[in-house]
Amino acid sequence: MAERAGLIVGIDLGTTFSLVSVVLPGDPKAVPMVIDNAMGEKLTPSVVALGEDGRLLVGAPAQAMATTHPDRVLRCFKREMGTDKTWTLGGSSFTPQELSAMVIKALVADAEAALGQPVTEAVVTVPAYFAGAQRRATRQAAELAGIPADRIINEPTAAAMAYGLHNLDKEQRAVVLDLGGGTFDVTVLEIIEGVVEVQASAGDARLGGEDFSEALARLLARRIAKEHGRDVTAHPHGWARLLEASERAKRRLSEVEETRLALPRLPLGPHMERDVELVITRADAEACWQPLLARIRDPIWRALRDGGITPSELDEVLLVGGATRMPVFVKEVAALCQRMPSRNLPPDEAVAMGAAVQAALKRGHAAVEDLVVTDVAPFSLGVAVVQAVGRQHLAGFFAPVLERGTVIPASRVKTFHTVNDGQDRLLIQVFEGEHSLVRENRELGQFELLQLDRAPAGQPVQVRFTYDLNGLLEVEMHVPHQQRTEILIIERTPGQLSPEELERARAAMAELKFHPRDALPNATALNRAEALYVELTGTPRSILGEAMAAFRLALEGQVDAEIDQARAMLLHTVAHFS
Amino acid sequence: MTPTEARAVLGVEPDIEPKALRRAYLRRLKGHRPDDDPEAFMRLREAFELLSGSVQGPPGPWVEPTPEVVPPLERAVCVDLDRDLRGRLEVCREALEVGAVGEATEGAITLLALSRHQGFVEPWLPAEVMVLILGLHRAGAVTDAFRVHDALAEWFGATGAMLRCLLGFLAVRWSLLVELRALPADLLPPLRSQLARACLTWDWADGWGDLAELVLTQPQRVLEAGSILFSRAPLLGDLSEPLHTMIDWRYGVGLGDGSEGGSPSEAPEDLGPETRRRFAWILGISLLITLVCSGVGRCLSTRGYPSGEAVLSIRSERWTQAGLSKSDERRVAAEYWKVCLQPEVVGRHYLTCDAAKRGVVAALEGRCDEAREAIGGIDGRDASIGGLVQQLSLVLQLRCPEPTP
Repeated sequence: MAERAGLIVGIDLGTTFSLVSVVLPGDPKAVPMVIDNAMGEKLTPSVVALGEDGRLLVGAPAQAMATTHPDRVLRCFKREMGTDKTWTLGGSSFTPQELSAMVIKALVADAEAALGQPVTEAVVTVPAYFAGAQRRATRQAAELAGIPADRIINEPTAAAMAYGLHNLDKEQRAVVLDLGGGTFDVTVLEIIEGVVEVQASAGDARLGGEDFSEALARLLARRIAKEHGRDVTAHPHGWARLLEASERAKRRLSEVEETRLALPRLPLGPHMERDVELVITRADAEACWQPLLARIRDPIWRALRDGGITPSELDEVLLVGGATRMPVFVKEVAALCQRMPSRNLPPDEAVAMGAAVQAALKRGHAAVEDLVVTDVAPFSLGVAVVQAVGRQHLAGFFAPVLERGTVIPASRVKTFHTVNDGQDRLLIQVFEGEHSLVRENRELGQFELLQLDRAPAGQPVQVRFTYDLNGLLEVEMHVPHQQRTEILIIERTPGQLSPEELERARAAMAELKFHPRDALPNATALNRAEALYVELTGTPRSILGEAMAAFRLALEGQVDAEIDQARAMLLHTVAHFS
Repeated sequence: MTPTEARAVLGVEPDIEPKALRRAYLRRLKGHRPDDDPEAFMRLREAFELLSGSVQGPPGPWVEPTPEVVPPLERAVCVDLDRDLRGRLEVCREALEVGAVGEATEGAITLLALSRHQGFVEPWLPAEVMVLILGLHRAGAVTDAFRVHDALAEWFGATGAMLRCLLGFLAVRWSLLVELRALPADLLPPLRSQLARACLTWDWADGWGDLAELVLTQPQRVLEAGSILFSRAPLLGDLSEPLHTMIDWRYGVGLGDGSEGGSPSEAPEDLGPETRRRFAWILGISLLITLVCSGVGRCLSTRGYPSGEAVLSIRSERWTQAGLSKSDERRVAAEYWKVCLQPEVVGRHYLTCDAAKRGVVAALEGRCDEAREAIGGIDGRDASIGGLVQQLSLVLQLRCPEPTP
């Protein structure tokens, strides 16, 4: 197949960090390349903030404001995808789709700047455990950013592609464990005959590295409360700084057994600041993480069971996602899978690389032509039915039509019957989930099938579910007697936008004032310095203050060389004291 | 799609090995990538699923059961397999109750035939069919009972080897519990409870002492009970060896073998040697399967999963001491049994079972916060544990009522 024109990039839209990656057209080895952002970093924080000047900041400069202005920084919005939650920032309110769109826009701008050509399309990754509404929201975010994303792929499948691309000749069964900032995914796959066959996926959509940091921060808050008698969690500034310090402590504890946190002048309440120093050992941290670690077991068992494989049959256990660096996670996985997990892929970048491989496939890149990947449906999909118990009818039971683990794309038909004599209408309610009662599952939509022939109970109606590669569903109802077919396309769910609303939202996005991309390194440097300034005392503080003043002066002078020099000085000072 | 068409799609011979079939399918994927050509991919997949089904079991799932063997008894509301079969079973039971022996027999045979078509069967099926067979015997329809029996024997032989393994692990206990359920309600209560205890604890040697006194004081009832036990519940009869020893010791007669004249004349419904031979055959199969599968069970339990004993420890006297009513206790135990004692699910529900156990014990010992935390922490989204979660919350309500504000 000939390569199509225009660049298609792969985007890993993460809870805490996002990445953009591309396979360059014509690259004979099809090596996915992760693109640096304006700061020269591969990871762009999925954070949006309102800067001092009233303009919006995305990525590192926004992240740097988290401790100084917690009220003006929005993060972890991926967790609310597909819900109707909104945030208010600088007088406007934002949906999770809009915030994600800003991140996508920033990533695309980075890619265009680095590659020197326009990006026409994107492949965006989602956790395998994302439900239909969350997938649609993700797709909409890309549309809002002005980059169509026809293809949504599962994060662990992407990681498997990045792994499989260069291991196609070795037949093996593997499990990919992806513990990212906010989600945990397990995928069982087999590489056989040059095909990467995903056999099962499971996961926990609300378990990630952020939860480990927060658990640690709560442990520290309890200690602070004991010592100083104040609840730091009640104070936004204090809590933001503690969270940020816990995040750093968590990372350090992956390397060392014990670490010291210094939080000078930590606000504990109105007009109350204390210098707080805490020592935390790895054992303490691991003890407070036990409840979280317990939650990784169930998805692993379920995926292995669904994939029909026992731990001893696994050839490879692959770890993906930044949070898998924690030794305690590795230990837990080693015990569960009865083997040491391997880290053949860069944990932060694997998903983005896989997305780039998928993008290359989509464009028809010659070097990836041999790669075939099949995926499975992560949920069972079905309809609500009435069940006969003796001579009584009980409503609200879930009858799966398309079982989880079905290889997608797939189409399944099931026949249902009317229960009452003379019944002339039928309510088809579509649900996804695993519970036997529909009220425990998520409703996707419903359709009222009217004007059936009045006939004795037991009249058949065929319901066909068609599930596409992106995890989106179409429901078709066929009434055999009447030769009639009705189609229900699940499009609108709570928090979703209609086409007109989408158009309006896109126009509103264009109105928003973003910090110019060229100035981002300056804003980041200044924000990082501000954050550190709060923590320092004495001489270091005045030295940093001087460096900041020098930088502000250089900014006003508008001479690029001077600005660059002053910024380098400032960053050097920041690095020295932090 | 017919099997022939499917083979044409995949380009394979009719007698292809399952592994070769899978490879043939995977090789074809190269030209029918799911991203580029979803329709062709789905066709390929359908062909593969159809053929791989046919390679595994006797008649493939595409053979619709012919209309004439499906009795027009039920009004299926949905085609869910399990519910469909249960519905049919219900109909057979009703038929038996009103004396429609022929209908019940045909229904049971169809039920078995249908479940074979489907390729997956729940363990309750053979046990429930055994109850039906006992019912037929009781209704005097001996020929019909044998027909169903033959169908069941054939069913055991025909269902795939793996299925039998899954089933066999539980089959003995299931069969025993079913036999126990089928015994007359007024069967000597102490004997009944001893049998129940033995079924649950799997200890067939201990606990018969209390019955010794009964053997002395109410010999007639004990003899009668022993005889009923032997004729109606051959599996239990064999295992309740100590009872027979006691009776032998006291009266010097063997209740065991009716054909050799040792059986008292009042033994009401002895089914004769033929029946016993058939039951023994089923018992043999079950035991064989249990032996094969106990290997699986052992390796599971050494990996730290709850073993049978660990499970039963919560079902111990503590429950009754703590004042749960008999029926509550039974319901929780039954749900726990369903979720946590099946070898194919222990891994999956390990956390749930562990939390359930901790929660119930804590609730019974009055540590309500702990109980609430343990039971509240169970993720009830999975369909198969819905019943357990419900029963656990009932226990919590009974033992740890929320303080009213």
